[in-house]
Amino acid sequence: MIKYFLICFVLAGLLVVAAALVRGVRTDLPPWEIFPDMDRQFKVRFQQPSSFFADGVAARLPVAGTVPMGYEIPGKPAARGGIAPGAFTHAADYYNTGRFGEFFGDGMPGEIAVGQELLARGRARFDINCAPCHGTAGNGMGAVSKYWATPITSLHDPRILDRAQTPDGALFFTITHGKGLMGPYGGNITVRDRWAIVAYVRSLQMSQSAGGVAQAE
Amino acid sequence: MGNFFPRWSNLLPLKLAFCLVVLGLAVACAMAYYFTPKYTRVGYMPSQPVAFDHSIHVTQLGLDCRYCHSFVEESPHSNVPTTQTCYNCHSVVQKDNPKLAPVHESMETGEPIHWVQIHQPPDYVFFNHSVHIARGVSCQRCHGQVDEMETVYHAEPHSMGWCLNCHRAPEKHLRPQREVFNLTWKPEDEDRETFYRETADLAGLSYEELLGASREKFGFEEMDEPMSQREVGGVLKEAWGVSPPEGCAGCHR
Repeated sequence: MIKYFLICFVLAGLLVVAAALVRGVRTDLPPWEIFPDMDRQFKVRFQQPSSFFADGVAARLPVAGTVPMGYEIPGKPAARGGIAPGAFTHAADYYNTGRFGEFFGDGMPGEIAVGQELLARGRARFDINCAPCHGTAGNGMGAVSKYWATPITSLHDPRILDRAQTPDGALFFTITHGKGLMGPYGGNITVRDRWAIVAYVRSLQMSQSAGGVAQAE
Repeated sequence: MGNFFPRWSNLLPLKLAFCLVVLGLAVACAMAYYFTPKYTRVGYMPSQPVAFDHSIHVTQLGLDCRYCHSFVEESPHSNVPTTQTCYNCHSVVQKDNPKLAPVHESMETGEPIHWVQIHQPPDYVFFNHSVHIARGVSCQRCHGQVDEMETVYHAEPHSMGWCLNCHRAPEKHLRPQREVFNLTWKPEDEDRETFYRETADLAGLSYEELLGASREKFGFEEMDEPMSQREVGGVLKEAWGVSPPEGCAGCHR
């Protein structure tokens, strides 16, 4: 009897191992939740759809025709709320748009304190977001430029060096909304960081433009 | 009285007990081996709607993790990139590659790409990416060598015991904040002088004070001796005052 038991036992064991394999095998099967107590709750989770709303989108947009509290309606200063302008990134001031009405502004907005810290932040963000195409030196020779259809704009191009043609606000606007083949980065970089990048690009231009100045003279 | 039980039945209880014990042990072993996230989660490698290859983008092109996971330093959640982020390059690069068809489709319809989430903590765990990154826990620590993965898979168990291993001994895993996104960093690569100069600022000590204290504690002679994880992590833990929560309420709010 023991003999038969052991035979069955070994066979069953082999069967289990054959079906379940070992730890760490690459598989398409979703993780098996053995005790799924409250693992998956009916709540809104980051970047996940929700069956609660008819369109399945968990991240809700403001209802059409409504205005968030503190949002400054462009051209209607009477609607100015208790929240400082700029609390919403779609406010219409220079800090958030790089523009005064129809025109690009130049120089850093009052909300930004220029200093070592800002430039360091700008450099870090530039290297993450801009350097893949524009290169860490800003010369348009980043890693992606090899695969790009057209030459990538060098940030030391006279057109961009010239503040009359490309003021700081225009740089900010280009980062936010893109230009030509460049995509918009407004969704990936916060407003403050965009200004930090603008400041860093200017310092990058200065560091490389010694020759350019000599040429102009 | 007749003899109800034949002779062979004398040993029956013993044999049954033996079988049960063997069976019980086997079931216990199988549960210990299989009923753990080391088995249930590790190796989960779903096929994604777009065959995104991290090794090309990170190792070959040198993109930073934060190019796509842009708000991981500020947010509890490490965001999956929007289609626009893919499109920043793929509007031009490899435009006609059939692998990218879902990206174009998503761009046209506005329907997001349905990436399959691989690392899914239970909903009662409130893991925060930003705090871990701010204190020198690398991506690689929890997600494995993603920079080398052609298809991302679940590399670490992410069980509670696994979390606590690190919470109880963070010095085994901490690294300087600037190297968090460098998935190939090794403590031996660290330059001792640079490290102590930076860390002295964090600790509010002078460079000489911190270096002297560490020399005593970790027993290195020369400045160019390679650093060990014990030294890097130990110094950083002190400097930052890292004391990760070990109580329930730390992560289960």
